[in-house]
This record gives sequence, structure tokens and C-alpha cells, in this order.
Amino acid sequence: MADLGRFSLLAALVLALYALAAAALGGRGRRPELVTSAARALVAVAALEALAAGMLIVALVRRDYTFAYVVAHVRDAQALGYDLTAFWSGMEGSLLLWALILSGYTLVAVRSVARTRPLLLPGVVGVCAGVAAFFLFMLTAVTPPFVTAPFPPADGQGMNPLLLNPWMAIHPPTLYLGFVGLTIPFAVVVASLLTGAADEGGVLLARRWMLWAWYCLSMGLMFGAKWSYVVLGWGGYWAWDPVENAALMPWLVSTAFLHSVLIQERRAMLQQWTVVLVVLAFGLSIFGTFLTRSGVLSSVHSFTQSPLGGYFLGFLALSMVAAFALVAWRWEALRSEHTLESALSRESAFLLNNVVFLAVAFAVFLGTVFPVLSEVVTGRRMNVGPPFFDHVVTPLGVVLLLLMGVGPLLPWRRASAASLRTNFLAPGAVGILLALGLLVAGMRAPGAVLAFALCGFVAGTVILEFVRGVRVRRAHQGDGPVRALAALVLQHRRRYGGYIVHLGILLLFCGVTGSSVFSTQRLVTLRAGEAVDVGEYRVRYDGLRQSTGSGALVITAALRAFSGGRDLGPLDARRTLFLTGEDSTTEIGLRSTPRDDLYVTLVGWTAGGDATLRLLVNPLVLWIWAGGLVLTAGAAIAMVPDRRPARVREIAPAGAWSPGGL
Amino acid sequence: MTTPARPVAFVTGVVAVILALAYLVYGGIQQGATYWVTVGELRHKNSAPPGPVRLGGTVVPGSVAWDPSHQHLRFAVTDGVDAIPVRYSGVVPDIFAEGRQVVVEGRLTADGVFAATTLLAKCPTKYNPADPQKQVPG
Repeated sequence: MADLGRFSLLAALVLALYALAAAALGGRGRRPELVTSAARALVAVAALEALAAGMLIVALVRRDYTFAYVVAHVRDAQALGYDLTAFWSGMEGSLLLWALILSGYTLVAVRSVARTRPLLLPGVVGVCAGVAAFFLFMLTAVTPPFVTAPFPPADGQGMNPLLLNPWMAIHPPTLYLGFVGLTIPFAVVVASLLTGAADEGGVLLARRWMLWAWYCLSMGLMFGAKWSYVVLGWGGYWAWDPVENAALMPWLVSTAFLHSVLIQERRAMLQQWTVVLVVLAFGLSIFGTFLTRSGVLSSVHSFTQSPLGGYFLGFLALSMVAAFALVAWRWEALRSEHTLESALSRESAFLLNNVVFLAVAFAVFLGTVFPVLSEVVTGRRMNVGPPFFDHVVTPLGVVLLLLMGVGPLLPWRRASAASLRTNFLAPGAVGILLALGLLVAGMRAPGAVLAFALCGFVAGTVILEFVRGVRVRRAHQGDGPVRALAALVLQHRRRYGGYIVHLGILLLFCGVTGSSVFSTQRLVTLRAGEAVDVGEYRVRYDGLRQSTGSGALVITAALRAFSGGRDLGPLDARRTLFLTGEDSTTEIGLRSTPRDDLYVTLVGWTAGGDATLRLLVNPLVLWIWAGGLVLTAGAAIAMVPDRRPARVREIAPAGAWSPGGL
Repeated sequence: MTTPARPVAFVTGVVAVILALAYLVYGGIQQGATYWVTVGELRHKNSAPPGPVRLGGTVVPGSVAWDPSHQHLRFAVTDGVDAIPVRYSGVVPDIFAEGRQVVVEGRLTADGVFAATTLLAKCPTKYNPADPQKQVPG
């Protein structure tokens, strides 16, 4: 079985290399039969990878301990569901997952490219085959998943218990769906640069893939944050860990792309810029995979010590140099007909938003690689922690928030003073009233007041857009308000889907502001029967309970929460100590309301039955998760494909507001 | 990004963003940068940089001691040659254990104990285990 797995990966590598060569020759010599053959080879690659993945899954589920990978990630006492998720909990399996997702995407992309833009086919097939070949090379030569041992142990080591959580089970594949999804836009863009097709079709084709990848990255980040919050027990959801930053950077760049591509579509501008963003996003997806999988930055070891690192960096450097050389070569052909007409226009707000997104991405990149960078420059390894990121990213985030409100209010091309007045009056008033209200209510943190006021302002602009659209529709069609709203959203899915995503981001901003500015925490040691006040809550400790089950000792601190004399029910916090090894896991006591989260961790206990607890009140955390749901709704609306043929692009007259225009 | 005539106001905006970024990055580094040191460097005080530092190493087996309420933790980290005692109060990661790799942030106190404000432990399955042979101090 292991031989079959190894063989299928090797065969897939050979076929991917063949597809790369055939696509290159076929594209150069204009021999479509060679390109078709290359595309077929990629189908076989996908089938072989699926076979290898099937082998690994069978080995995991059967707990076949002759496989080193199974020994490392499965043990008898582990639930069967986690035997499956063990597939991507190790490096070998997750690289196989990468390759498998890429092949799945490639098949879909090749089909649609062959139908709509056959000229791009050789390039798309070639790039996808090249990336697949790299991962298959890693899987055959560097991190093979099918290593077997002649004398298998009786039981495996199993996964780290921290990973045995539903959020961690779905977090890596979601993130990978996003990371890998960035390869397809890259392939499409490289293909259109190669063919010299200076029409923007390539980038527009890339757009839908980018939206999907962006959505998967968003969800992956969200699941990771949720896992960090409920499992790690430190009370936060984001720690600026290199592994988190790895996924944030491509997210930032793809968000920038999704905005600038709108301008490219609408105003035929910024072609050079969008192409650069696509290449950057792909580079960051490879870099991110490398970061999450090698752990170079969080370890005390230097870059070169991981065998994986050299190959990844080599591949990254090669692909970036080649892609940017290609971009430079076609730079003049990518030049757009239109230029920015006025600094006070929607284009300019979008472009500035792009600059700020890239600035944030650059800051995150700098902070992430700072240990390595400082070692190269000064000879001493230095580190920047969360204070650095908070210091740099917070102000830029506020600017982005402001632009999110300003952008939709500015007309295309050029704003007039009169249009500015009518557009900004109502949302501006919402923001100012909200700020005053918060100040009157006693909120004194200036950053928080500013952030909430801006959220109010942006929400005002989004609602204004909906109200105007509905009003225009009602005036023309005479529909009822609900019907008009539904028709409006369904007819202009991308525009209104995008606005709904903005509402989700606003919720996220509110949640992050509330929980980072107004969090309170206490660390106390209590005797049974004692109570402690934290925020407006009172938590009573009723003693320790001990139980054993499936190789673990579970210590439970029986807690009860009260608020103003009202009994809110039990709030037990647990710690599980595994009898094998030294692992332990924390199970927090959590009571979530839209207003705040009461979050308790059992830190320690004494033989006498005293418990040391860490208690936090984190305001508005629930809004972050709610923001994720709203974002999903908006992204889903924006992703539903249009059945109608694409609308002819029209140039809007200056100052016009059009309900359908994007 | 190369077009003949861009509005001056827009170019000013972009320049402002870039300058702001440079300023923020500079301030952030001034505020938050810490040096990595090894146990050996910290032992020989003259070679260690001033201020808070990041110390990486392995938790010495048998050195972990809690106070009765589990609020304060004492242990020692080693680079294989030298060892240094560490004290820490706060949330201890679940994966913290003897023999595992940790990173502590803090400073060396006058009594020779490293007072840590942050304790990070390496997740053994999430990352590639480092080859102990290559763990060269310095």
C-alpha cells in the first residue's frame, strides 16, 4: 500500500513535468494537440494524487502503524473523526492536501479557460503543472508521506491534544483552499502576459478565483482565531504569531486586488497594478505555506536548518523573479488608456485604499521576518512582538476604515462640491452623533471613540447606498420595499454583496476595538465558597471535582456566575491532564453575550482544594464571529455567477450616481 | 503606476501613507524590538545586550517547580551547556513541559534569575521538530 502511494506520487511528478514541457512546447509552437495532451496529463496527475491521498486516508483510518505518518498523528484512543483530520495535521499530509486541492482547482480552471479563452490555455496549464511539480517533488524527495517502518509500534503517538478540536480540524483545509486558490489567478495572469493579450480579460477571469480564495482565507483566519480563543486559554484570538501573519498577508493583498480590479473593470485603469497584486498574492501564498510548515521564525534556529526551507525559498525566488521579469517585459502593453482625473474621486479613494492595504501587508511582512532581517543586517537576531504590530497596524486600520466609508460616497472620475455635501451629510452626522453619544455615556478612550464613530459613519454610508438603490427602484418599478431590496441585491450581486461584506468587516472592527480596549482581567486564588468580582460579574468558586476518563485526569473547578444578584448558571473551567506524556489541555468556562464574554481559565490548584483562576471580561467578542457570518453572506451573494452575458462597460458621466454601476 | 499626469493631491496622499508607514515602523521597532540571546551569552554578561531580551532554550528536566497555588512558576532553561533559572507568573501554555523548547521574554535580574514576562512553548506537532544535533549554542 505504501509502495502504491509512493509510486503514484512519483508517476504524478513525472506527468506534471511532462505537462509543463508539453504546454511550453505546445504554446510556443502553436501546436494545440500538445497542449491538449498536457491538460490530459494534469487530469491523470489529479487522479494519481487522489489515489495517494486515498492510500493515506485508509492507512490513517485503519491505524496502520507501519506508516511513520500514522504513528506520528494517530493513536488508538483518538476519535475516528480526528484520524481523518490527522491527514493535514502534519507537514507531509498537508503538502499532499495542497497538491490535491491545486489539481482539483486546475481541472476546473482548465475547463473554463478552454471554453472562454483558449489562447490562455498553454500558459494556465504550464503554470499549474509547474506548481504541481514543485509540490510533488517535495512529496517524493523531501517530505515523503509514505515512509514505513519494519517494526511497527503497538500504538501511535497521536496528535497533540491541542489540535483535537473541531475548529482546528477545519482551519487548515479552509486556509489551504485559500492559499492554493491564489495559484489560479497567478496562472491566468502569467498566461495572458505570455500571450501578450493586453486585453484585460485575463485579470477579470482571475477575479472570480481571487474572490473565492479571499473568502476561504477570511474563513481560515476566522476559524484559527476562534480556535486560539476557545482552546489556548490565554483570552485572546490574535497574537501576531508568524503562522497567523502568514495567512494575513495574502489576505491583505487579495483584498487590495478585489478593490483595484473594480476600477480596472469600470474605468479601464490600473492594469499594471492589478497584475502586480496577483503575482504578489501568489508569492505570499507560497511564503505562507513555507512559514506555517517550517516554523523557522518561531524557532530559535536559523533559516537554513530546515531542509524544507531551502527548497521553498528557492521555488519562491524562482517564481517571483520569472513572474516579475514577465511583468516588466509587458509593462508598456499593460499601460491603461485612462488616468486618474481628480484626487477627489472614487478611483482615487480605491487606489489609496490599495496603497494602505499594501502598507499594512508590508508592515506585517517586516515584523514577521524581522528576526531574520535583523540577523542579516546587524548580526544579532532581534524580534518584534505584538506591540510593534499594534503600533503600526492600528492607525493604518483606522485609515482603511475611513476610506471604506469615503469610497462609495465619492462619484467616479470627479466629485463636485454639491455632490460631496449631499453624500456626506447623513453618514457624517451618524458618525458624529455616535461619537457624542459615546462621550456622553462616559467612554473616554479616544481611540475607541474614533473607531466606533468611524464604524457608525461607514455603516451610514452602506445603509445610504441601500436606501438610495431601493428608492430608485421603487420609483421606477413601483415595488414594495422588501421586494425592491431583494431585487436590487440580486441584480447587482457584486456591488451589494460587497457592501454586505463591508458590514461584516464593521462588526469585526467593533469587536476587535471593544475587546482590545475594554478588556478587564484578574488572576486570583480562591478557597471553595469564595467569590470574586470581575467587571460587572461575580464568579463563585464551589470547589474542585476530579474525574478520570480515556487515559486522562480531568480537574474541574465548579464555578457559578452572577450578575447583579442574578444567577447566570454554571461556568465550569477544566483542565485535562493526559496520563501518557506531559500534555494537558485547557477547557475554558465561557459565557458569551452580545455585550461581553465572561472567560475563565483554571490556571492551577492546591492539594487543599484552592483554585487559581484567570478571569477576563472581553466586550463585543461575539461581534467578531457575527462579522464572519455576515461576511459569508455577502461573499456568497457576490460569488453567485451571473447568468446574463457580461454587460458592456460604460463610462459614467462625471458626478453621476448609478444604482447598477460598479 | 506610471501615467503622465496624476493629481498632485493624490500623489501627496500616497507619499503621506508611505511616510506614515516609515514613521510607524520606526516607532514600533524602537518600542518593541527585543534581542535574541542564548543562555551562554546571558551568562557572560558583557556580551548580552541591554534591556529586555528573548531567550530560547530547552526546559531542564526536573527543574520545573510551581508555588502551591500554581501562580508562580520556576524552571531552568539550557542551551545544552549552560543553564539559567527562570521565574514567571502568568498563563502557562498547555504544551509547556520539561524537555520541551521554550522562548522566554524578559530580563536578567541582579540575583541571576531571568524574570520572564512572556513564555512561549513550541508546539511539538505543529512545527517540524528541530534536529537536536544542530542545536549549536551561539
